[in-house]
Amino acid sequence: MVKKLFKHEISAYTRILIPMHLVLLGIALLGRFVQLFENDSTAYHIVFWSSVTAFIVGAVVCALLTLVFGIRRFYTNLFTGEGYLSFTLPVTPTQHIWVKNIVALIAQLFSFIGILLSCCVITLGDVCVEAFKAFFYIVKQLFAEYGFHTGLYIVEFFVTVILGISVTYMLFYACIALGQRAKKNRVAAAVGIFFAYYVIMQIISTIFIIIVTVFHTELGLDKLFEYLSYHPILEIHLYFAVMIVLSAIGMAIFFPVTNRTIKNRLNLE
Amino acid sequence: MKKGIKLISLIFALIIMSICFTGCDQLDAMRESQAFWTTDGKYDSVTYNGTVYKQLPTQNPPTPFNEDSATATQAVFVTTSDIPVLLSQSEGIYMDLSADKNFLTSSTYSLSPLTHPNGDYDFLNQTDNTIVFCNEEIYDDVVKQMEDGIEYPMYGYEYWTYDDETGEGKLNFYYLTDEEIEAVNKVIEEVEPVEDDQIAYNCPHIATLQEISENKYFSKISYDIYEGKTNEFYLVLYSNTTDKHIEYKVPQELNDIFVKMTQQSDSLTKTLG
Repeated sequence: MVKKLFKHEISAYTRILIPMHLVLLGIALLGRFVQLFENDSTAYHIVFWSSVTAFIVGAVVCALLTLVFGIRRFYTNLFTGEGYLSFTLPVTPTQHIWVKNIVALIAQLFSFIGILLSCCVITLGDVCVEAFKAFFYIVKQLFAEYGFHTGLYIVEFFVTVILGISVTYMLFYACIALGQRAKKNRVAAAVGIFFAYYVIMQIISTIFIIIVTVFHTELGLDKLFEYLSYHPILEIHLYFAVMIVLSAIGMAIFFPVTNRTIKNRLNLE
Repeated sequence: MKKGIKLISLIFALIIMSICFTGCDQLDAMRESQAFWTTDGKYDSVTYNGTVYKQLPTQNPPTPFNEDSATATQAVFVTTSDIPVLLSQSEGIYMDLSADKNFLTSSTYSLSPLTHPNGDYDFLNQTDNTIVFCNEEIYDDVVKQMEDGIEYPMYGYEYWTYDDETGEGKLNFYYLTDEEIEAVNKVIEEVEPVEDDQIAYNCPHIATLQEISENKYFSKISYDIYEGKTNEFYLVLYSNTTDKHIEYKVPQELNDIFVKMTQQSDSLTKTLG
């Protein structure tokens, strides 16, 4: 049943995202076509920069719409009229949450790939070839400088990104789930919970920064930073490790909140 | 229907292919400004547009001469052969190519360990602030000239002219005539200089003379010409050792020659100094 759930989730995403990315590809192709007429005239510059601006706006819209659709899909499928059908399926709430989270993550990653492909289209030809040469040169330099650590950095980077996207969705899921406890205006309540979370995180971050700034010597941070300044390779690993741990902590908080609310406090419209 | 689809697909494929063969002006400009170390790992020779430039001996390299210092030099970025063109300006060493395309000039700052963290370049023997690479076709002549001692028998100076209609400025170069050169040399040799800052700080600056080698390869900044309040002229040189200006007052009998010499300078330039 979980496989069927994946299949239906993916088809729901493809119905929206594929046309969206085809439009973006079209904008990229148009932008590249404009460059066929490259010259020094003001008219060309206006048209060229307009096409680039349209492409950038399109790319940002694609990325944002994917996120918005992922959040909306979670809400409509589990907390509106559709929820009556969803919760009759032989699937646990945990499975519902993870299926939606994983498919949203996959959709977001494919959205990034689609945007990258569109960037290749808009720079098709000489510029694209040179951009790839520059990219592979930088990677080669990184391997020359850091050796096998570069491979580890790449793995850590992808783990950080994947966890980060997953935790972001889980945060929104938790806000929506908590918002359902309100009797009226549940969506507004979910938005309010998100802003409250944001304010609390800002306060915690500020307190943390103050503590670190005032007590950095007592906490031994001076020695730590000095040690890390002599070990830049370790510093980068530590950075990724901290990001992964923070994401894992976020997941450990947001998932149980969402899961528990759906299991025990579900109140469909 | 099928034929129509095939035709549309073919046209589409042709458009895509034609796009792939078009270039980009900015990329072409970057390619034109990229030069390469002739041998990777060695920094004593540069190849640019098929011309090889060899490094001149580093003790006090002469300054290449440019008639138009504002625009004549071309920026060139020297890289190893494996650096892609998009990274040439961030990874490359910046150098100026002279207008006659015979010299590449760089400062040791841009060749510092900041840009060569692996310490590939030998900085120990640098005694001056600039490094000059010379076209290998004239390299032997230039080195011999340096060994014999470069002479600067000519003088000249830059001056601006302005188009009244468009307001655009143009930088020009004036070469002093034999009579004017003789007058300048006479002032330097015969007039007793005064160590003072009065003229330099209070009078309008007319022009900065450059001494130029006979083959116009090299130049060096020479005296500044100032005009005093009662239409007399001064040749002024700044002294690094005393941190003061050395001022030579032009004798009255040479005044007419200096008036003629400096009339090229726009009156606005005279006013602004």
